Amino acid sequence: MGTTLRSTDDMLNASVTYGPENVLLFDTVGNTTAANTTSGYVSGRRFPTPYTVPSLGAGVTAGLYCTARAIIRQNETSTIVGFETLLGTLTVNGNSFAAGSSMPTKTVEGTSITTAAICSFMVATTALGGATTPTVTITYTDQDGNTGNSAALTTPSNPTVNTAYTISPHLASGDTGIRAVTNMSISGGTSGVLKVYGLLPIIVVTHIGSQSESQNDVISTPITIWPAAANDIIATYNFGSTTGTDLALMLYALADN
Amino acid sequence: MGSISTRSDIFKRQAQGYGVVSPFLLTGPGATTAAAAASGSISVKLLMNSLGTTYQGTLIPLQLPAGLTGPLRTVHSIGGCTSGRTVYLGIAYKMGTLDLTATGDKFTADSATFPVTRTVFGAATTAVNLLPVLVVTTATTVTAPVIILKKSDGSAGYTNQAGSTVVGTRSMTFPANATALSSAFLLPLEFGDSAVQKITNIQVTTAATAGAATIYGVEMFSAAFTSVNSSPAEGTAIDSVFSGLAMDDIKPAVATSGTATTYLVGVSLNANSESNLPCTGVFSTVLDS
Repeated sequence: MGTTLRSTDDMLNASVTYGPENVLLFDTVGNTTAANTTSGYVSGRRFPTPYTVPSLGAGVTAGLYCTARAIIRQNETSTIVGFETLLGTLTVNGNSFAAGSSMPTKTVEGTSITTAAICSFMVATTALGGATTPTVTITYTDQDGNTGNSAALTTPSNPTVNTAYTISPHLASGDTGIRAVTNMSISGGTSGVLKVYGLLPIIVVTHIGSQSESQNDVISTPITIWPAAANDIIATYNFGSTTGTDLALMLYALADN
Repeated sequence: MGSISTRSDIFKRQAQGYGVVSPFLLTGPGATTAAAAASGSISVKLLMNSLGTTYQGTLIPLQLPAGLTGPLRTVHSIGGCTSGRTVYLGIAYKMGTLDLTATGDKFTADSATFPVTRTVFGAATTAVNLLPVLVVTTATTVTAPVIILKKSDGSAGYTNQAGSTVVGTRSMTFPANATALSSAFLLPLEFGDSAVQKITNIQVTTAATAGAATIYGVEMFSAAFTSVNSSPAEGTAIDSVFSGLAMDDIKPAVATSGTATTYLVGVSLNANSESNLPCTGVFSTVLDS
């Protein structure tokens, strides 16, 4: 853990010395499939073009994404932007599972922590076909390192591409987080791909009005400032609507030394 | 004592996977009958988890993972509506049902025994003070019912915030002969009382031809958001850690016996019965051990 977050002056010094990163991203998502009581309760979608943290210069140990601004043209929705880890992939044709990565180890408040995702989503990265109200069983390692627990989601038929379902209401009793996914299986279907992502939240915002923007200042909001490594993925999820929309996302990061 | 004693502990616990960060979309029942002076003046809406835009006949509360042990403490919430209002996060405990179609003692208490309790100021099993809310579950017809918090024989109707039993003297008249489904009002307490720990009796002194209600005790938390009715409308963020210092445990309090039926909801206290508009947001909590 570096010195950037020790004080406001340290933050200013980091900005001047190393140069901040300003990122502007545009993305679009089409219509998606609604959630129901067996698939996350709140309709969600993943914008399909995430951002990759670039390489860090000499003397820089991490990027600190402190402020973000999201503009979404969809009234009465909420957005979570976070560091995303692909935990597992299920290819429906053949019911074939491929493990992804485990949630990363991050230094938080000076302590090295094996993270577990308290935000996790199942996303149709390719639309499903031939899947009539399928049940997807996700076997995972929980926040305590216990293996073999499972979550079962029964979705509407044939979720469209980029539909995202919240997993946490369906975790095994007593669980709140996922460290890793060890298996996925589906009850039926002929095509499509489902992926489970774990998210470490950077910002949460709401959008009110037909063209709404929200700013989240992480410094003054009780959200963890995660140290970002080169090639970390930042993804955006929006909730509360199934109507296609656009995203303009601005990220501002300081360098940690 | 739990595992959280510093702000740093909060972020570490969340990073380790102990907590819930969840989006929500709340909706209310749409246009209802506004409260009038004789029915408490304040209309209440219990906002439930929305599936689409329809208020679900089978109520769906905000969802949490099941079987959590230890307090689940609020960290941060952000939310907004396109109508100016304040929405509080709260738990509605079902206290019983009320038949409005005949006069007499028509309250049927829920099987769970009240009060519900939690640890307050270090004292375990402290009775929780609840806001008494009546929600119409069958619209009334022909006659506006009148109710009073007592038994017809003159015995007590509720236990107040001090733990004393109270014989109600103040009546409530429903605001319309046809009071709409899902209209909700605050029950009339005696002057000087602010909450109930338990409701034991409700006397119907004037009945309707049709009508029924459910009685909830609502525990309101500090986490909330306020929407400004401006153009464009804006949402707000509530910080329970740095600025609020009010990290409520949003797991339900425990009934004296039995298991209370509970709903984690948004509570809107408005002066009128405006058509419901959805409320969107994200809440963040940390699971203490």
